[in-house]
Amino acid sequence: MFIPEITRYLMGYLTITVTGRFCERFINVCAAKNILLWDIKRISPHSIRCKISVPAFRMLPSITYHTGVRVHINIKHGFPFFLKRYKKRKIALFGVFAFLILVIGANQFVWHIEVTGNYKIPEEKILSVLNDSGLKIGTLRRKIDPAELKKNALMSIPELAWLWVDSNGSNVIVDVREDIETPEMKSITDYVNVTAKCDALIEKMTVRGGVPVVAEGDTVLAGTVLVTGKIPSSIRQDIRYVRADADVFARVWYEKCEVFSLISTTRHETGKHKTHRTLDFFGKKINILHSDNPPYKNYDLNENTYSFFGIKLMTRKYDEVELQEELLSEETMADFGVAQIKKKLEEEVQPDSVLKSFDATHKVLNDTTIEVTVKAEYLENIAVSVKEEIPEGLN
Amino acid sequence: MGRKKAKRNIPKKIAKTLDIPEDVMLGAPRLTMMSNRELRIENHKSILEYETDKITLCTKDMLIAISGDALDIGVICDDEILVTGEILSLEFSKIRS
Repeated sequence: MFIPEITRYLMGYLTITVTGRFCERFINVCAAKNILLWDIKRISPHSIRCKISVPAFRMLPSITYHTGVRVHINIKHGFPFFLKRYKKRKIALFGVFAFLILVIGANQFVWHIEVTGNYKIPEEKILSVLNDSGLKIGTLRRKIDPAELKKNALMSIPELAWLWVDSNGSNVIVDVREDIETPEMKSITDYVNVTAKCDALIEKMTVRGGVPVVAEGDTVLAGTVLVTGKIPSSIRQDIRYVRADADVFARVWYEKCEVFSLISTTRHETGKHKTHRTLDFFGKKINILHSDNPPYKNYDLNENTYSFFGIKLMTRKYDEVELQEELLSEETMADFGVAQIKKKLEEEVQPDSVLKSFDATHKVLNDTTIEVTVKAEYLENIAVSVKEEIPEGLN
Repeated sequence: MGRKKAKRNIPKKIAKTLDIPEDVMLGAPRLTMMSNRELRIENHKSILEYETDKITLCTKDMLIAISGDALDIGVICDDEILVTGEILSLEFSKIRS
């Protein structure tokens, strides 16, 4: 039912009123001549209202003459009449054509580039390489050569394993795959010793290769050989060199001392704010009623970028702040200092280390400074593989 | 008269023997009703009367009178008519020959 209605709308149709004593005869003659009438309604004893297509309406005069009825057009429906109505409005017509040309023309350019599939390589790096190869916002779509772009990008970024450029309308999707890092190859014939990373007390050893030199419970210094790859043979009079491999868990002590000031600077918003807007028109930046300098001496900055078809509107909102110095209490600063030092320590030790004990002390140096000392004991793997040269003439 | 009647019945008998629908073979009217809101009649000849409460149609060998309320003719072409509205009764009568 929907498709005939669209066809009728496109071809145009009329609502007519047929008046006369022989309306039934008119309907019969129209049906006999294969003229389609629809939505026929009796509106009075001598008249009916119906709908008829425009080409069929042109055949009516002879029928009306022979059947003795009069036909009157009530409403003209459909696209041809709509066009006719707007034919006189030249500017509107020009606007429609201008719009169509603008849409078709705008569709020929790249307006948005989207990079997908990258995890380690930053999007900006890929986009800058593509930019150098000729793909940027505003490039003609037909000038995009995916094979050439792929070649250039793979040559410039060695971490890339694959890249393809798909243009979907004015939106370009750059699909990339990153290279998987090749693990370091370890030769089994190398002579490698396991040494201590730092001074520690050994608690547990798991030796997978080589001969342990120290035992659990020993205290070792940094650089001490823990497991050696030098194995003397008990049968022959020679020495075999192997790759020593072990996990050595030991108690390691860390001590850190830092000085903190009790004077803290706090920022209070004054309530004043100014927004600077900059228009980025295909790389050319236009400041709207402002210079590049910030309006306040001390401020918090909030930046936003809105992109629309290659034109970017960047807004920078400056909130003025007032700096106030205040004297913090000794305990507050000590807690803050401990937290800071602990954070630094956790970055230093290995990720799978276990904290065994923790001790923090502080002392006041003068009215405005305190010294915070942290002593921490971790259980961590101190094994470090060190490759050694095999002495000449052996093995 | 009897012979004429017998002659008229021959196509009917052929249709019955060959199992061909009468509307195809003899041009008999085919009526399709959707509840009492829509009635589609194929193989009609002409409209004899059209009022909002009554439509009378002529088919090959009978008259069909449709009575109801707010009766409209949805579509009409040379062999098909669609009557819409609230149909209350259908009446068939023989055309006198």
